Amino acid sequence: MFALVDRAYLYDGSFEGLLCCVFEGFLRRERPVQILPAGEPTLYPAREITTRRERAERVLLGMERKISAEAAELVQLGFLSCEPERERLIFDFVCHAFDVGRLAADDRASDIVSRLQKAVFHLEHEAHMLTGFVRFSEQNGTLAAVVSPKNHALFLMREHFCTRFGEERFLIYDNVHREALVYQPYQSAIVPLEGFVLDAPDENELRYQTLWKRFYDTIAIEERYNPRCRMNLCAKRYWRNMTELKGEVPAGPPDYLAAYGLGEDRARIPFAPSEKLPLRPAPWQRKGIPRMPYPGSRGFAQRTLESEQQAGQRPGRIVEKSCEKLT
Amino acid sequence: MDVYEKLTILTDAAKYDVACTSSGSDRGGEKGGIGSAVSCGICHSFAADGRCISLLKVLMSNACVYDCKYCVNRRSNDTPRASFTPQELADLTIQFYRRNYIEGLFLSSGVVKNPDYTCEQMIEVLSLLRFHYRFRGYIHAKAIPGADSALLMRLGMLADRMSVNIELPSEEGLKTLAPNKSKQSILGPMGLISGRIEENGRELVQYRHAPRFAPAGQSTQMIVGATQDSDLQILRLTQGLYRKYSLKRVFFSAYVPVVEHSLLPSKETKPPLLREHRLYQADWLLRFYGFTAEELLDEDNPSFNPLLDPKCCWAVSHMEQFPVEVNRAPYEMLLRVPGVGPRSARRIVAARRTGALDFAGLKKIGVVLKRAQYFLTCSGKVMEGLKITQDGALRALISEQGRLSLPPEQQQLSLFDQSFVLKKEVIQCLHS
Repeated sequence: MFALVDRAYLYDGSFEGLLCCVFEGFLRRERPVQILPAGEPTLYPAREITTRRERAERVLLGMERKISAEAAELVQLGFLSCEPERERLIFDFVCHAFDVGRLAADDRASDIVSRLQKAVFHLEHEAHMLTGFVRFSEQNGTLAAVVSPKNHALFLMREHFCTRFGEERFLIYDNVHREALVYQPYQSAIVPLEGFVLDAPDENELRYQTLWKRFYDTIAIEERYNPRCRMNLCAKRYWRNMTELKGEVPAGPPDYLAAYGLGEDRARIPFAPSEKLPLRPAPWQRKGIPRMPYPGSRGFAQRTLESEQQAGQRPGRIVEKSCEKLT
Repeated sequence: MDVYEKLTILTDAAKYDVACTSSGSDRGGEKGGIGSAVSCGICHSFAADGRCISLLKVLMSNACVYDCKYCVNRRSNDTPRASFTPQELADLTIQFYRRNYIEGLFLSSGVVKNPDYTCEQMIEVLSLLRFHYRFRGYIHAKAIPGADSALLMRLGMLADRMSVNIELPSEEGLKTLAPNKSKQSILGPMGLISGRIEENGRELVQYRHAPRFAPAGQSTQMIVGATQDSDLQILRLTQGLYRKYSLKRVFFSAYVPVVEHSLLPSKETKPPLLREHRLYQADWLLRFYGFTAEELLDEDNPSFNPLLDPKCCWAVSHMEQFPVEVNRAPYEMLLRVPGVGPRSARRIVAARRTGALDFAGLKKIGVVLKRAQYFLTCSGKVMEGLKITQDGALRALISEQGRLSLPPEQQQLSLFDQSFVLKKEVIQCLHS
């Protein structure tokens, strides 16, 4: 693993941007103390990393070739999790993975891998629970729902809902990260959305809500009443958006909004999820990518610098080093 | 009577059916249709009793002609009766499904007129859903005992899972409490369904697009605590059902006294929830941990220990097989360690290929060390500061509440209890 340097990397908030930070770290053989979205305050001398898609793809490709597809997927899912220092964790995981090799994703006894695996598990679990707990209500023929997940779970729920309700038009609004999954037949997108509130239900909608509430109340067996068990299986933070349980918790935004810097007076976290990078590039998609050295391959830094010099690009490492000597 | 009242009556009548799983079928969406099925199943809500709600669980009708003593819908009971029309039920299912309230439909019914007529009504609902609405979600259908086999086959082509309720774990129980049912009338359809599923498996090998018969298999349920049957009998029966009829699940339901009858437990008895819980734990051990019924219980101990779960119970009485070496033991043996489940056992097997595991590593992997520490060694070492005795292990495994009922631990005090300090060490200490 590379030596820790007192430096913060600033990236543009996208997944490709983070991979470029990893690329930069491997190029300079250093590990930054912090990796932050540009605009966040930091006490360390900062280095802004420009996002270049080709570099990001090379990191991911290197992960797949040198380590495993599972590890590459872990990195992508880790980015969607709500782990507080997920950028640093992902950076450390990539470094660790190139040390360990093929089995890196299974090495759960190590601190880094187990933390990342736990974060991803939390994300996947939340997304799975939400596929059940989303409650649509019909508004002018469109189905709309609000969810408050801790992770960026919409990305994992996308395929499930799009195949299930293929003929419907629907919208799922995530009021923690202020994004929405919108769908109309055979087209879907995840877009940033500043605010969305459900309309009051009309007569037809109200009828089915009442019927559902009635069903819910009747199905429980009184002699087996067990509120503790219910809370274990369906945490109270989900209740505020569920038709049948809404009445039992105070209304309003979830109390963990502040933890994400999303209180009313705060700005939105810059987060530009990657739309184009597929979650595991398919073999036919990989073919077009030229064989460039990727992080972890032999002589990566040297070969990259040489090839970039030939292409007339500014050589990163040597200039930076002389700068450091000057300061 | 409007749908609201019907829903109330028929849900109330169906709530004692336990099976509410939506797993086992994997089916994507389709253009022009609605719905899909996910193999792991999805819980859509949890009722106040902590049970998962994933299917719209209702009866088609509760106007039953049978007179089973334990049942709320028996004909001699004075209770409001209602029946859904197929159109009403299909509409309700689709509208609930669109709003993501449910994963599909669980359809059962009291016997109206005769078993064949009832079965035809159920088929009508299912056909309406599958062909008119092109519904691709999950459907669980109860086979009505005594219905014609052709009708059952038809039902199975429309549903994902079929089930026939065993109701009571022994034939004597059935004779006294459910005089209209017999062992034959229950096991008959069960055998028929499992035979057809097997046949369908062969068809699918030949023709990939052959229509599928009950792709999520079949399940059953039995009532625990209404008769005098022991846990051993129930567990043996369960194991037999898994082996002979290759069932997907056997469900247990603690008997909730709903009716007063001289042959049944009195109405004041509490439902035997702990016993039901222990049976489910044992059921899991049969299905995922490679245990057999004979290992868990025998003629000398025909019922489960209320203080210890069946796996701990087995481990404590087989201390000669422990401790197990984490870094070398086969997967099957790791599974038998209390505190290690299939998930953590798989993780251990994968993680130990990268390096030797220690107790800190096990904790990160997700092993419950509180229980597992008494049965494991890491590279030949036991957990630091731990004395392994059968009594000590037993105390640690018993739950907090159970421990209060035990006599306090008594130990002879010893002057030399601590490890000895050698003279050499004292000298070394003084010199430095």
